[in-house]
Amino acid sequence: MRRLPQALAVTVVVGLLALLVWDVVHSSGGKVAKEVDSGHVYAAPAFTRPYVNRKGNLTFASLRGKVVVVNFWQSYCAPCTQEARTLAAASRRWRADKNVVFLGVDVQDFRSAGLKFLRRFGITYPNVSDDGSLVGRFGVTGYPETFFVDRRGRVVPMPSVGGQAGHIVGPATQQLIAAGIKQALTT
Amino acid sequence: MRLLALAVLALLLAAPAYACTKHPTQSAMEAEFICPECHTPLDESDSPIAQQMKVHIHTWIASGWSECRIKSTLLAQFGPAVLGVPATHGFDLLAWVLPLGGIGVAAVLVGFGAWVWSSNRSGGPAPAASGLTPEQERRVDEELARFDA
Repeated sequence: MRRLPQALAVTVVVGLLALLVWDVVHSSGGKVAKEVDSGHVYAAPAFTRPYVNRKGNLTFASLRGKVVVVNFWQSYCAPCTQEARTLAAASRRWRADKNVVFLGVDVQDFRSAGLKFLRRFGITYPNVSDDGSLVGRFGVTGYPETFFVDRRGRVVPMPSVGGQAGHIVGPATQQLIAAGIKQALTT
Repeated sequence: MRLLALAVLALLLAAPAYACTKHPTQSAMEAEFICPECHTPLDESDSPIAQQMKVHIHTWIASGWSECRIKSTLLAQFGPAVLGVPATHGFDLLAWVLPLGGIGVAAVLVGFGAWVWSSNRSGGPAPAASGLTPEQERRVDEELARFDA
């Protein structure tokens, strides 16, 4: 009679541990960044998000066939302010190439603040807002971070430039953006 | 038992009503949310986004927004993490299910314990009221009778 509660308690604990292991194994959180930083190509998560600087929603799959520079930012993040003009200039430089598009992801921000930021730095390429869920799927750990998606919808690792490889962590430079785009165009 | 069930039901029904205060206060709202940047309660944070959130909440309250409307607006922008409560899906769901399950299991165990205890009481041989054997009782009675005489 005394063994029954003990067996039940052990079963519950083992069950919870199994659930935790299952969750850790099946969690996609951080996988994109981890894989890309390890030099592997990884499928970009599918998503649909509302635009910040346009009306309606953007479905990421609609950009298939183009190289996409995906930049995660927040209007209240100081390093994002540092890189904003670089991104705006890079998007203008690559505008002539119809195979390349820039996409901003404004994370956990007020739309009004996001719009003000975009206008301040002359950013005209599409930006979507994210409530934080997309950040988890890409494995973003800070802001800004930038990924490169090839024409087949796969996140590709950027070659090593100035100590950075995989994806850009921190403010992007023209050199890093160009290296990432060229890599994505060749895959 | 019925009274307890009614009380639990009343509490469950009252919870959503409480969550939808029509005229929330600034301090109550600030205490409910978490700053997405520093992950501390909004009323304890002075980060730029926390300040923006406080200004927005102030404006919304002044415009007569209900607590639910403010909550849903902030949830849409900042996600469930802004509420500082575990998500209701995936592994985080356990944080909601386990306490309720624990209460259920505890109730069953208490009920079972009470049933075992009461059946032991009614089913077993009735002990002597004083705990003495008949011989001891007879001797005590004799001694007492001597004192009374």
